[in-house]
Parts: sequence; C-alpha cells; structure tokens
Amino acid sequence: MADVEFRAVRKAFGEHTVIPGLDLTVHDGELLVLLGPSGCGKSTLLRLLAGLEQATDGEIRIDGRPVDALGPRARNIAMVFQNYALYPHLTVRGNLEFPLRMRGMGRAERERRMLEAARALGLEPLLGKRPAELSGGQRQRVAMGRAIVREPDVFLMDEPLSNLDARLRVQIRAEIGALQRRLGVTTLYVTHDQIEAMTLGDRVAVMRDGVIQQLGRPVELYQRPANLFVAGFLGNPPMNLLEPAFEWRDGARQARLGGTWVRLAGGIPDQARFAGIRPECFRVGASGSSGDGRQDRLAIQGSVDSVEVLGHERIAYCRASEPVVELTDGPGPWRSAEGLLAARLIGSGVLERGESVTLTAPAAEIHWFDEDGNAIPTDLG
Amino acid sequence: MSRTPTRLRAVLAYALLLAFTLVFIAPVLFMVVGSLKPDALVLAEAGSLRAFLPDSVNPDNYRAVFERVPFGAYLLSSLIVNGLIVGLGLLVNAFAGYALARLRWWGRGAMLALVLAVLVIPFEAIAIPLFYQLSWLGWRDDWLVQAIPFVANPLAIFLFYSFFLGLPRELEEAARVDGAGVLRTFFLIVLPNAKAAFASVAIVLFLFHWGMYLWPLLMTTSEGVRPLPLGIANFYTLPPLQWGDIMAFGVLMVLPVLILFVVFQRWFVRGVASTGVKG
Repeated sequence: MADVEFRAVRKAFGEHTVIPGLDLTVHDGELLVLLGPSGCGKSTLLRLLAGLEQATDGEIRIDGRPVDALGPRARNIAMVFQNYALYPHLTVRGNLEFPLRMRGMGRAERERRMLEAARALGLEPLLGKRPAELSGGQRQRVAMGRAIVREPDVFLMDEPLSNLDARLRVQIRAEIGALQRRLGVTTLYVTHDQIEAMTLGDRVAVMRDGVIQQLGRPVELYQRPANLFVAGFLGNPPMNLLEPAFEWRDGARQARLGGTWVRLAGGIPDQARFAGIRPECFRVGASGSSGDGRQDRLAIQGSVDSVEVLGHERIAYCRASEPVVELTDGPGPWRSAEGLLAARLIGSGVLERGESVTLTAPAAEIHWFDEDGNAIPTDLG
Repeated sequence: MSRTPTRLRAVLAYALLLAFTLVFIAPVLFMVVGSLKPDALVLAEAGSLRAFLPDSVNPDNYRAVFERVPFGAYLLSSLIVNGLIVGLGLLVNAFAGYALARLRWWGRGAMLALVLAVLVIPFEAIAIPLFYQLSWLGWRDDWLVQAIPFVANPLAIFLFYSFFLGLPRELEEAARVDGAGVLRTFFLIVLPNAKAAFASVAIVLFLFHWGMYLWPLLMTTSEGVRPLPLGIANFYTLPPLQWGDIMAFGVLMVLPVLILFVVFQRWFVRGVASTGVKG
C-alpha cells in the first residue's frame, strides 16, 4: 500500500498534448476516481502510472519512490482493463497464477494465493474454465482476481464496468467497493460514469482536456461545483444554467430570473454572470403562481415539454421563458439558447405535455458562476 | 413465384463452380490416374476422357520410382530443408512481424516499406548474385545452404505483422503489468494466441519451397542433399523416359503437402475465435 504522487506530469503524443501539466496525490488506501468525458486524459494518466506510457515531463512517485525510470513490472501495480484482457488460452487458474509465475513464486505459495483470491471472488468452481466459457460478470471477477492475487501496492482500474449490463454493473460496483475497502489498497479508478464516481470514490477528480477541474469528495463536487463544466458534468439531468439580466436595484445587485428580481441577503457578487439550479431544487406549480413576490425565490414561467417517469421520481422538461445556457464542448463562451429546464419531482402527480407551469426555487439554492465559468462561493447569500 | 429463379440461379452457380473445379482438378486427376497405368497408356490416352479413368490399379510405377532413384534420400532432404525453412522461418518472421507491429524503434516505418518492396522482387533476380556470394564463402552442397536464404520471407513477415496488429494490445499490456518482459510476453501470451497465423505462415513457407528447383540445382551436387524436385528431374535425363514413373513420383511428392494441409486446415478456417477480450 502506498501514496501515489503526480508532480507536474505532462504527456504529449508528438505535437498533441494530452496532459499539459498535472499535480495530484492519491493517499494511501484511498479510492480516487478520475472522472471525465472521452479523451480527457484520464486513461492516459492511468497508463502513465502503470508504466505503459512514459511521461514527457514531470515525475511520478509511488510510496515516495520515483518510478519514471521503472518498467511496469518493477512498479508493483495491478491493472484491470476495460475489456478485461484475460489471456484467452489460459484457464481461470492460469490467468490468476500468471502474475505470480512472472514473479517466480514457488508452486505452493502460488497455489495458496490463487485459491485465496478465487475464494474471495467466488471463482473456485470456474478455475478449470477458459475466458470464452465465462459470462461478462465472471470475466470481470477473474480480471479482479488477477489484480488482487499478488497483493500490489496500487490498483488501477480502467472503466472496468463499462462492458457489463446495467444490473450487473450495480452488483459488481458494490463488490469492487467492498473489496477495495477490505484490502485497503490505494486505487485509481477511471470512469466516465458519474454514478460509479459518486458511489465508489473516496475522492473524485473531474478532468477535462488533461486538466483536473475539481478534486474533492463526491458530495462536495455535487454541492459545490468549481465551475460550469463540473456543474454540467455531475448530476443527471445536469444543473440548469441560466444567464440572467443583472441590475442595481434598491441598493443591491439583483438578477432577473423569470418574472422575479432575485436578490441575496449579501448581494449578488459583481462577477456573477450565470446562475445554476439543480433540477431537484425546482418546485413545479400551476401557471401564474410566482415567488409570492418574494425576492428570495425565483419563479420562471414555462410549459411542459416532456415528462420522464422513473418510478420513484419524474423528470419534467419545461420550455422556459428564459434563455437557457448550454455547455459547449470547448471552453467558454457559453451559448445561451432556447432550451429546456429540467425539474426533478418526487412522488406522483399529473403533468400534461404542453401544460403551463411555474418553476420556483429558493434563491439561496442558486449557484453563481463568473464570465469564465468559475463558481463564485454561494455562502454569501 | 420467386422459387424458380432462385433455384435456377443456384443450379447455374453450382454448374459454374463444378466447371471450375473440374478445370483445376483435371491435372491432378491426370497425374494420379496416370501413375496407376502402364507407361504406354499414359500418353496414348492423354487426349481422351480415359486419361481420367484408371483401368486397373497397377503399382508398378511406384515400385519403379524407388528402384530407379534414391527416393528416400530426396524425401529426407526435402523434409529437412523445408523443416529448417518452416521452423526457423516461423521464429524469425514472427519476431520481425512483432517488432514491426508492436515495438517502437527508429526506422520502423522505413523497414516496413522495405519489407513490402522486397515482396515484389522475384528470387530468380537475386539467385545468381547469391550463388556467387555463397560460393565465395565456400558454402555449398548441404541442407543448410538450401534453407538459410529462405528463412526470412517478406510475405511471412507481412502476414505476421498484419496478424499482430489485429491482436488486442491489452493482452500484451496486461502481461507487462503482470510482470512479463517483451520476450516472455511474446512467447507466453502472443504466440499461443497466434496459432492461426503460425499455421498459415507454415503452410505458405512450405508450399513456396517444397517445389523449389533453381536454388538446389545451383547449390547442390551430391544426391544425398538434393531435394525431391531435383529427383523428379532425373527421370527426364535417365533413359528410358517413363511418364508413368514421373506421375508416380509426382503423386508421392504431393502427398506430404496434402498431409500438411489436412493437419493444419482447421487453423485456416478458425481465427482467434475464443478470445477473452470483449468487443
């Protein structure tokens, strides 16, 4: 078990820079999730740590020891690949024993460790089978078994659940979490699935274009996103973003959201340009209702465009009178467009398509972002 | 309504296939049937359909093959020379193909282009310079000299290269993370998953060189190291010219190739079907 440190690590493939310079410390025994869209550099970071790629600049340390000059073998890490990468010609037993054989371990010790790993993952009945004879979930377990069998300092997991169906994914996700907690091995887990990140990670690093946008506990990231990218990436549906008009009224900077001028007790920060509201913060009322004239609530008129019924909750998508900000793939400026606002509604009720409604939310729930998309602390209000 | 045209199309297709099959199989059939006929009848019936119908099974020609020439010595030479070419060729060409497909080294692209360029140079073009080169070294008249120039084969390298490119890279990366070096990754992971490529290349190398005539003719003088193609040529210079014997020799010469094909053919049709890598 060990700390992992990336110090000013840069990676370029020819002219193309994937990671422009990254600092990150993964603490001993921690499960850190690297979360981000495809091509954000999260898998590259994992491969750099594994020794499958060489950093262009910077230094990587495992347990305080620089490992840049070491090959994968000398780093004592284990990796679970997205497609499992089980050796097709070897049985489950052969796959589990392979890393031990490569380290020249004696037969008796090899057998003991292999059986221990097989037992931990319920693989004993499958030891004589080849990967082609296994189901997706079983293959995933064998890949996990091959990783734990030699008791590495660090686990690397590269989207290990993405080839599983939704139901199995939930089950294996829980198993991975339990296993990691039991073994206490420092783990870097790469995914583009925010639910995996939120449920598994002790901490989550949200990445974009090779840069960590925010690093923190999952709940922090959700409740206090550092910028528009994180706000838009975490949450399903993502945070609603609006670009209100601002005005000084009655001695305070106020924002016009829907029909209401919203103010905060401490005033809306000068730099604020965008307002973000999580779907669960909205209440949907009949058309014409408002924030009761209160300036600590916003009220936006709209009409129901569609409703997704998810059983315990419904997501109502409403066409708003306000222009809605859409996140673009590149950095800002962010585009305002005629868009939909999402509201998460708990419980039953009837909302008809086309029905006129009013979306209300407490002003204190609004996240404020500046011109560049960076969050402005909201405890001002 | 639509059954008749479908059936008609099928009948036509099969008729066409049958015609092609007959065209290709006719010389082989002629050889097999001719080997079982009295010598006089081989050419006499060559112009008629009887050339393809044996009157009786007559092993005399086969007996003659063993009596007139040292068939066993020729066969042994051919097996040794081809065994060397195939055995060493699999190793050398697989290494080369793997290096081109997977390892990162300076000049890799240029080397790949060179291998492809060499593909189009016929052996006859380099046979004489090679002959002088090896004669100057004093290296002649043994099995090795017949095999070594053919061990590295651009087509085999290219076949391996293409196959290794298609092999999931993660398998090798997993092996490296598990602690295997390049050689152990190659021998323990890549090689067992490349059986289809090895079988294909083995057959290609064997077929290319089983009938090799020019090079052994240039390099050998002793009957003890000469291969089958030089043996069959003896019949043209050993009077009397017996076509039945030549046919029988031909059949005996083709048999090892057929056996090899039958043994390895399942590797042709079966790719790497059972893979542990999904997607």
